[in-house]
Amino acid sequence: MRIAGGTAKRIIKRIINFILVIWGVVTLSFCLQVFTGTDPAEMIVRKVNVFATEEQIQAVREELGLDAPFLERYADYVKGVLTGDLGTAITNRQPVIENIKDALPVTCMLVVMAMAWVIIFTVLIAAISVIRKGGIFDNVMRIICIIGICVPSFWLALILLTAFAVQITIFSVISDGSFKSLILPSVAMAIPIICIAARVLRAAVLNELKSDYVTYARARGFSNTKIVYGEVMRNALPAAITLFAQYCAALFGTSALVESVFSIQGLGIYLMESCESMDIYGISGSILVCGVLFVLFNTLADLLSSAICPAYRRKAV
Amino acid sequence: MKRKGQIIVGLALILIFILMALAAPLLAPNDPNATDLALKNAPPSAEYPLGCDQMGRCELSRLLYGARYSMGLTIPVLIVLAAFALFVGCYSSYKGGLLDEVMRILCDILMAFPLIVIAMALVSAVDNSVASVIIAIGISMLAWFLRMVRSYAKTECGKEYIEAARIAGASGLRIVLRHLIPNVFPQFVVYFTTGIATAIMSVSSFAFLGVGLIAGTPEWGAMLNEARNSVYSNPALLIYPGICLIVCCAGFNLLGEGLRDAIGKEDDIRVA
Repeated sequence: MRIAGGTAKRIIKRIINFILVIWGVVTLSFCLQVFTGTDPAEMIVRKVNVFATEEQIQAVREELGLDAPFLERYADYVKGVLTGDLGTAITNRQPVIENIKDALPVTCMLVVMAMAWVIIFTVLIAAISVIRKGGIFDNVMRIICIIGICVPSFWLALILLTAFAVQITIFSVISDGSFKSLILPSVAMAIPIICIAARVLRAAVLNELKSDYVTYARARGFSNTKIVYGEVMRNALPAAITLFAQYCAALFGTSALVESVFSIQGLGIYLMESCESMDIYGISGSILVCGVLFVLFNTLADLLSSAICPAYRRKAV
Repeated sequence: MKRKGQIIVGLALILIFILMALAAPLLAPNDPNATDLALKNAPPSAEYPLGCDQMGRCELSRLLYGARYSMGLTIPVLIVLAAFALFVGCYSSYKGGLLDEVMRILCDILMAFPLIVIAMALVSAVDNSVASVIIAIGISMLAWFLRMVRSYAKTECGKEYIEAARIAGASGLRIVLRHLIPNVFPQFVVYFTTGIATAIMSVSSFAFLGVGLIAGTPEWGAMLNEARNSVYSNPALLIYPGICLIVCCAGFNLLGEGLRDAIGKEDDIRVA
């Protein structure tokens, strides 16, 4: 009974936290629109007519509700976000949400592929390193991982591009969004993360191996491999899941780096193009999406961790 | 004594790069910004040890000056942030209560945005300058620092010596300054060191995307960005700045990991 009460309290606390953080993310993206040094109304008018009069600009300002009181604008913005209206992009006069919907699928595909590499290789590397601890594989991987952590993904992307698209022409230089063309970019994104995550998981598993239940399983005669895969991984996973979720979410924002190398028209590039043309609605819309994705992934990771690992549930939020 | 070697190698690399940054005008054979189109993509020579880039600028001189941006934009900012985070984080997690909750949620909100996203937004919406880049690093890293300090301090607060100090009648401020901070410090130094590596990489990635630094700046990321056009003509231009960046980050990571092994902690959480 006591445990059930704890779980309920934990979930409620988690939900309150989730709502507060999302609200903060929305507010911050709104603040960006308020404190920007640019005047969207002037930009819209001057795009069509360079010699626009002050009256014309004022008319657009009123149309956009820019001279409304602060609180009214805030209320409008929150209402807009809740109904999926993020404003109209200054660049192409399309709703921002449509622009993001166009850009998101290819970025999603990229992130999913990168995370697939990450999960497969992290678990493999960590497991082999632990089972053969101190062996050749463990030591070589240790060194590779230390170097790999320091490699910036955009540099790796450039090198992979030069090696496998320019020197040896297996892949094309410009990505068309197909599965094959996303292999190089997703690998470039994945390698630095694999290097960090493999080390974290290895450390977590080794830490877990010291526990009593492992000694008990050994005493019962289970093999090392069975203990590592069957029992220990499950308890060591929360550390890795939290990390995976954070990197996965961060990839949506940092995708601009790799996308720009391979000319992929994804979310990162949309954010960058909005920034270059100072399209304040595009910017706040895309950072809002990045922020909300991050919070969502983190919450999901937390729920997943408590679903598969009993020990994790007992920890405080 | 593997960890001792790691710490020494890490420190040595960091010192080399700091020296590079400080003594760049003395070490550089040429003006990093002097262009000479006759020397476009020139091969290495006595006067230009690493050759010239696509604008005929001395590659080695530019690499040396690049250390100034990587080091100068990150280390001073992070030291100030770290001092602030150490004090505020410890104090708030010792006091607990509403203030602590508010701070935790503020950190959560700021951490939801990747550093590069904050930088891009600030640079384009507020002001396209190095100041915006520094503010972006400040906002983002402060949130991560505070979060880590809080989690370290929470663990320490549960220990008996804090209780003992409280029973002995020490004031809250005294407990934080004399007991909590010295015990949180070692773990935080580890995090701080790897944080510098992250920040250096971030500054370069901003420059790579042309965020904050003006075009043509001798910064490693900016150099990589310009070298993109010469993947066919002069791929070596891609290699040098990348190696500088990797070795520089490796220095801080090696030091951080050596220190972590030395104090016997196994956590490894980084800024995403």
